[in-house]
Amino acid sequence: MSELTKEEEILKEIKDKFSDAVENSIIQRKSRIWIDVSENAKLDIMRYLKEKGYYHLSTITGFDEGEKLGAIYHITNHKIIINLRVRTQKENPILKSVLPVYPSATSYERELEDLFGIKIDGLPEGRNYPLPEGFPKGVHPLRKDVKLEELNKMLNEKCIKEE
Amino acid sequence: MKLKDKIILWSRLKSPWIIHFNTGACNGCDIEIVDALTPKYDIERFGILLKGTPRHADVMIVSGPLTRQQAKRFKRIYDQMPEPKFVLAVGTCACSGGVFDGCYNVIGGIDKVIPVSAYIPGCPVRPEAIIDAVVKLITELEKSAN
Repeated sequence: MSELTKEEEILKEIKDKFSDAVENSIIQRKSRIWIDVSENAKLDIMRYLKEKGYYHLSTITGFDEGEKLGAIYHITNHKIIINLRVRTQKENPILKSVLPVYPSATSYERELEDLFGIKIDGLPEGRNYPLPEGFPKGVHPLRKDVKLEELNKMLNEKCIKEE
Repeated sequence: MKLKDKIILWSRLKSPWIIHFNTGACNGCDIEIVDALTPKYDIERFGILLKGTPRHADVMIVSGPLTRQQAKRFKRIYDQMPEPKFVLAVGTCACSGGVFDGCYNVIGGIDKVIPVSAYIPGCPVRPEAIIDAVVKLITELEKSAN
């Protein structure tokens, strides 16, 4: 494992500093680190990473595991990507906004709100993105329990009504 | 037919101005449209000019499946074109929705919202097919005038 020493060092640093917050971690391969962190310590870890040179939030991925919803924050210094995975409950899902650390996250977070229905605490109000205006409220198309045929039927009926 | 109408028809047939509209394409068809316009195929030598505004255009060339986000805007752009206007649906997606048909953000082919004059299938279309469609459109117009 000699070629992964750098990754192991980084992971060890984070584990030492935030021992309570790190739930699970894996070094997938060279330059790819996955860490499951708790929601409360998320921002502190990001601040720490940003100080260490991980200044670029590449993107945020949302996911639906059935019982839990969550997001993966892909943070990089353009050499190593650290993927922070945060989970939240399915009933009233809520995540804190990462705007204080990474101001570029606005559109990613709005996308999480629209497509997964995860309420982002601290995100300023805005119009739908990327769903069109007038999209039925409370329908989040990337959730697993959304039936595509029913959704399409509803949307097309609505479309005809508007015309 | 009056002389005035004849002149208008002549100018319309000799130099149809087009506008290109992307309703959500992957850019494959857009590149083929550019290919048809630029020196290799060069339909500009026949007077077919790409215009920047719908108000100057006779023919709208549409690529891509019609997304829900785009539908209203697309209709508005179409309404801004002066009569008579023609629409070419370029690519399988514009014809029927293609592989994106049935997705939550896609309505389907562009004919769900506006009338289409010619369908050009292909993924992506060949520039020859676009030229063929334009020629067919012009010949039909010529026929209808006589």
